[in-house]
Amino acid sequence: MSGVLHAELRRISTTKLWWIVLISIFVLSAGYAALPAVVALLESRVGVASSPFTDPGIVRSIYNGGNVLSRILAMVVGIVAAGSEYRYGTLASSYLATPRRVRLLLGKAEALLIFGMIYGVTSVGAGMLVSVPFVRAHSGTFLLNEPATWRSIILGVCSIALWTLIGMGLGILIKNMLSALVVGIILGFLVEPIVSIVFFMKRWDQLLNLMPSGATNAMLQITSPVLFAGHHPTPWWLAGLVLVAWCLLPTLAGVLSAVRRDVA
Amino acid sequence: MPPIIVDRLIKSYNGTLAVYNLSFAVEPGRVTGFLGPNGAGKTTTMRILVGLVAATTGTATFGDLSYADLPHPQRTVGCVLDTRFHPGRSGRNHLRVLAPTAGASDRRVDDLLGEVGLGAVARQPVAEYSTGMQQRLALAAAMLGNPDYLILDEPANGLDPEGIRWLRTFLRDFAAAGRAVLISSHLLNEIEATADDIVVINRGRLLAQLPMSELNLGGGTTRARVSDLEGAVQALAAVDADVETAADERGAYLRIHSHDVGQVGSALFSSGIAVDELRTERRDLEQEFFSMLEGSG
Repeated sequence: MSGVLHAELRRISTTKLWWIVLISIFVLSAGYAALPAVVALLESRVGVASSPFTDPGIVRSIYNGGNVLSRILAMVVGIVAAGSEYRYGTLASSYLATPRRVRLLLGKAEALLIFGMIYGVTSVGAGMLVSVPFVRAHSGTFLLNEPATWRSIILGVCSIALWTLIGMGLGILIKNMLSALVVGIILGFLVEPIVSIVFFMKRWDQLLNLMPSGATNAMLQITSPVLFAGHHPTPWWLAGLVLVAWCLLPTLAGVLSAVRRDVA
Repeated sequence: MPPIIVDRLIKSYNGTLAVYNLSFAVEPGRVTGFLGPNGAGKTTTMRILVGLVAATTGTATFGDLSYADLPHPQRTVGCVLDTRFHPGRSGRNHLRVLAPTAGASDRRVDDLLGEVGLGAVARQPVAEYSTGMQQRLALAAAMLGNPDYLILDEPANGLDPEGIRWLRTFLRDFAAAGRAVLISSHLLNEIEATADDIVVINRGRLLAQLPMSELNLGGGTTRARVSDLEGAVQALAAVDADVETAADERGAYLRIHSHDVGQVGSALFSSGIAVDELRTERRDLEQEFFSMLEGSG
């Protein structure tokens, strides 16, 4: 492991935020995973013979039920990872340790992706735990022999990891950490969902697929209406590319702006 | 080990010159004091040297290498530029974050914490540290990679007298091992006690670079305050030294260009002249500093 990556992993692991977020993601993901499960039960209640928990779209929605919240929390970790360097003035000592700034920021991105993966595994793990009683009680199936299920699980983990980079970019671009958090949370919890709901209601699926959350849903091939997932998702790989573009956009802009900036 | 070379450095912020055409060298084996009034450009120069601030033109290098080109920056250069820490991180973890790139082990971290006297509070959050403790932590961070150069911007800030004395010994030993120290401080008597060379700047321009030995501090003059000035001048004819009349807020006195207080005293005594004050005059770095600044206008 490179020194920069090692240092950046320690930078994250030596503050409280990372495990507060970890616990929050576990608890909230468990709660949110129950949501599509309950909705599926209510919808299928009357006169349907087969269990709703044999529908791959629904099972995947439960596994990835925590995604919608976990990705915002992952973004918060990304914002703080970048923003706290400005807020507490530690950027100077980071640059002294790694004067090649692009190398430092890449190390930061790698470390965030690793923590993002941990968050992703936690979130999907909580979803899978929650699915157990529903599937068992209603003679469903876990669909774990289907490659598509595993693809959804793995991409679910990756998508949460990618959202940390959206945060890192925001944190560099908006140097005031608290402003960056406010902007990130308003965008993630308010603006983006409202726009997505509008697209969902109007059934503008192609536009919906281009939104960060729409792309994430399409990538996971989720169909639960609770998550405002479109009816015509783009192929998972195309959705993945859209999400990567969303991550790279603020990160690249942030890195480019930071590389030349004097640290007074 | 090559010297630090600052060569025709210019930095302008939106047309305002913070540093102008500044050149000087910091030699290995010596402590170089970097002096100047607030806003003279000391901090800017030090930050350019370590790549935190980009120079408008000119260079600041370690030998021929800029800080960013050093193969192992932390093992070559240690810096104390500020005392900014994440308040929630412990002192030990602050060092552990900087350790991997410096090639330092956890053991080295613990040894250093002990050396700077923070062993007992190593696992407490930095928010609970006093200014002096934070300054010690910053020094420990600078020493992580066991560097050849030390660059210290006002390292004595917040240190108690014991800490200042410790720092003085530390820097002397560091330089005695053939390594180079560049230290800025507003405590001129500290610089006087520590530095081998001084670099004085004002308004971003170099006023003087010279060894402390050339400053001729201590002056070598003796002050004699007597009521009978004329009698004393005659009595001092026996002493082979120039005598001049000077005055301060307490009135006129004689300045004898000899540091032999005993000889002056006995000459006055044998002439029966009453003496109110008799002592060696000290011209210190502070006086030199202010006369340099006045000279620069």
